[in-house]
Amino acid sequence: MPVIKINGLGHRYGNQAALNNLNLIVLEGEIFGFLGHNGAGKTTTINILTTLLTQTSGTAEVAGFNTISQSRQVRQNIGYLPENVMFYDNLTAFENLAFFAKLSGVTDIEEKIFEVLDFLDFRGIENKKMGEFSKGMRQRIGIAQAIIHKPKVLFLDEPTSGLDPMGIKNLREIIIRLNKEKNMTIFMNTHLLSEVALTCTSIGVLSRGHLIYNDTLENTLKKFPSEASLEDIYEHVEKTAKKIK
Amino acid sequence: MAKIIFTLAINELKILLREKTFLLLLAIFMAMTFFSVYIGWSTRTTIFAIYRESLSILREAGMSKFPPDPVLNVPALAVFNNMIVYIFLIGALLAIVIGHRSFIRERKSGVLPLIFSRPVGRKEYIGGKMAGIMLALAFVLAITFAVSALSSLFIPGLRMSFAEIEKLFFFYGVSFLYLFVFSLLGLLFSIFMRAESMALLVPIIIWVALSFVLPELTTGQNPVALLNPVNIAQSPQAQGQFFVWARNLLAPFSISQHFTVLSLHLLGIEKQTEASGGLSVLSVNFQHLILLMISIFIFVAANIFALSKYSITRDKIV
Repeated sequence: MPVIKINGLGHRYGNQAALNNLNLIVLEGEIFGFLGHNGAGKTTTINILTTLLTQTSGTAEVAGFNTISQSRQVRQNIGYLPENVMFYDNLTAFENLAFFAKLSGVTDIEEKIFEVLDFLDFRGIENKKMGEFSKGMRQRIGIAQAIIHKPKVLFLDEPTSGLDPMGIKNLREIIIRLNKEKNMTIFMNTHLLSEVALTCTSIGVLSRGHLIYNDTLENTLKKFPSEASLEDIYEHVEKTAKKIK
Repeated sequence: MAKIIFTLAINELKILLREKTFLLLLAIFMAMTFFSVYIGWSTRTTIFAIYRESLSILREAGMSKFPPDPVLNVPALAVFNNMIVYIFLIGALLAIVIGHRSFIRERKSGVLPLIFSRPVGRKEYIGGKMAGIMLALAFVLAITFAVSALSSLFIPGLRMSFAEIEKLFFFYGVSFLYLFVFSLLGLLFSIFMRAESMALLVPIIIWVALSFVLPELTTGQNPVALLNPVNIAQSPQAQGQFFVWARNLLAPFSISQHFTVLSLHLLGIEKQTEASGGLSVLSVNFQHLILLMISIFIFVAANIFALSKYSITRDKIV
């Protein structure tokens, strides 16, 4: 069953096209890796799907709701972790989480906060001010705020950006557990194919606003080695296009 | 909707109470409130001491008729007249900072995408921000009211009646409306100006224009006299053709003058025999109150419009 349906999606910043006629379906229960270099249009896509940005053409549906006409329902069903997640530094982790939980209409806030902190194995930090947190710790609280209201779909924009190897490993485990234990569909932007190979069930590759590749991880790994780079995929796509021509 | 606005408003107040800039301005404002009452008391006791000394000199000189006690005819609330100046000057700046910080903080910290990826509408968000600002101003003025009322207990010979306490309460109510206008101004420019410094500077320039330039154009007063709004209200207005024309055209926009006129009447410095209680003073001067309210509605609408046009994903503060 599709959880994300994108049909002819386009977006322009002035005269510059960021997305061109994007068509994509993400099924329920998938961990979808959205690959592409910087400026490919990945963040624009996430911004549209999270209703932060309105597309200039096409339609998008998340959890069965239209991102424009039913934006409130979309937001009730999603969690979002931006690339550089920021919080109110003067407030404690608990106060920040409580604030975002209230905005999502969560009841039993204290119980839910400790539940997510337990899930993330992050108890004991709740009374620390966010200003004292490292990048990795912020990222975990970022995930906590994104899942506290139990969304159907979780959007992660470059979640491993700026993390040390241990932090990346921990985050990878959390993403897999969220998918398996909490049944969340995960849409993840990244530019690391190697990262996707260890986490995702299907992938899409975006280049200059065009979707140039979309398949399951299983099929992809048959075509490319897990250490392949994005360039390898681009090369493959170009060669395939030439063959078709 | 109300729950989200309430959540945003409480969060706003909570963060503000932990910010050093706000706490510093609040401390200065409190200190000035205390000194305002002290100056009022000091003036009153000095005048009374001179009067008593004069009386003893007159008695020694064998006079039988004495002039009346000058303090007797001064309304009790007149000891707070310096508060008009402090709210006019320091209070307005504090209000601009509160409004400015309210949105600039969100832009700088980058929490807006997290907020707007939740079921929070833009009108709810700006409603929450404005409610938070109102809470902050109410908090500041409630403390100021308490400090004023308590300080007055320590002034010898000054006993405020219930009607006077009510008038003092309404004076702080009018101050709240006046300060809210400037907070909305600070909030408005923090939404649509890209540069943080300009977002603070422009409302301050507008405040200068509203507080000094407009009253000068409408009254023809000496610019130095304009530093004290009590002087402006109590001095005769210039009757030159230009000033009459400017007064007719610009007076409705002179927010500071509306505040000053209402305050002077509420504190009894400008006497109105037909008005005894706070509400009756306000009803006699309702045109100033309405113009103050209209400016609030205009700024509320401008803030809602500015936020509706604000790009969450393309914002880069400089």
